[in-house]
Amino acid sequence: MNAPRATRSAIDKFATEILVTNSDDLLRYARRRVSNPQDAADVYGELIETAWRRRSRMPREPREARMWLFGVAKNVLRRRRRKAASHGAMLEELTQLMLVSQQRQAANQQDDIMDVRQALASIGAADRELLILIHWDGFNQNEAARHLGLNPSTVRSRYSRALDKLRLLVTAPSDPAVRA
Amino acid sequence: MDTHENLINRLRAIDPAAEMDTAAAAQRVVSRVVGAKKQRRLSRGMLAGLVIGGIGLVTAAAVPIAMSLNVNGKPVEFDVVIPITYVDEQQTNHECAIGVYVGSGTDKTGASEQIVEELEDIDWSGLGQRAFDRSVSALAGEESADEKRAIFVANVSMLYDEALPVELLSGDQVIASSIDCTGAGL
Repeated sequence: MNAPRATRSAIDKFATEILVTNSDDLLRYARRRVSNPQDAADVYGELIETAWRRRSRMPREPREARMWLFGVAKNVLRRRRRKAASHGAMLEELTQLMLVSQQRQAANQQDDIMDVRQALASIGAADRELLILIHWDGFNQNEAARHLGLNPSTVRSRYSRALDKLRLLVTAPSDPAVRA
Repeated sequence: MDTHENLINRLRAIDPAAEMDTAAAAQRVVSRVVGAKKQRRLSRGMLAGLVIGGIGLVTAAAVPIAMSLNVNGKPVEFDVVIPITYVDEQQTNHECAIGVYVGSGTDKTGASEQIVEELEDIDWSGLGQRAFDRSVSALAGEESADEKRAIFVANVSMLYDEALPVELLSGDQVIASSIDCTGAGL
């Protein structure tokens, strides 16, 4: 016999609980991937709205539902980047100028932190994303693999490589051979 | 050379979200979104009447079919239900809907799922009122109920087609739709 379908109110209740439980982690996920807090707040608002609209597709198991939410967040970010990219090189230049300014400001604050920040910015985007997922977002390697659509074994080797690159850059930040 | 632990600690120290104290505010956003978006879910069974369908693209050719949508001669379920709401000149609220099916023929693929997500992301609010307002201005005053319905459905279809991103129409996916609007209030 088939399992009974969840009622509408049961779906709403479950989705609300999952959203509330993961809300702060989702906001942090957004903040770690956009350059300023306003954009992070926009991304967060959009991803909550999107997840709520699609709640009927949310897996019914809390851990799976959490992974699903981060998948929604990834898609919202990807869509925004695609949209931003269509605005062309002019905005890209502006973004770069703002980032450089932000980096200069940070450099004046604390050299040690700046080394790591520069190093993280210098490794390839895929490696950076993996380190951020694991050490900032708190994903384990299997979860990171699912989120990125990769095999766990690929993630394990990529993680090790990313960490080595970071370590080398922190040790010798001016060596261009280390950069991705 | 950094030890592993030292490197990880330094990496964590530059997390831009580490010092954020936002849990309560983040939860309030969820509460507001959930509160605002609890709309009446339109039953798929309500979607009967005129069917607007197409293979590979959406067309405005109306083909009457009762109670279901057929693709390649087979009945299919709707993937997205778009609520159409409007207020008539007597301030009466009206509701009807567009049911949309997406598939590669009658099969589902990754591309189908992606299109469904794109459709769900579109803000459809206001479509019903714009269709109603356009229909009112198109009436000569002597139309029958069937003619009013046809005018309203044509306007809904036109606005729906305009809202669909062009790239969704360029693949090999079927995007078929059914409308149950009657033009009530015209």
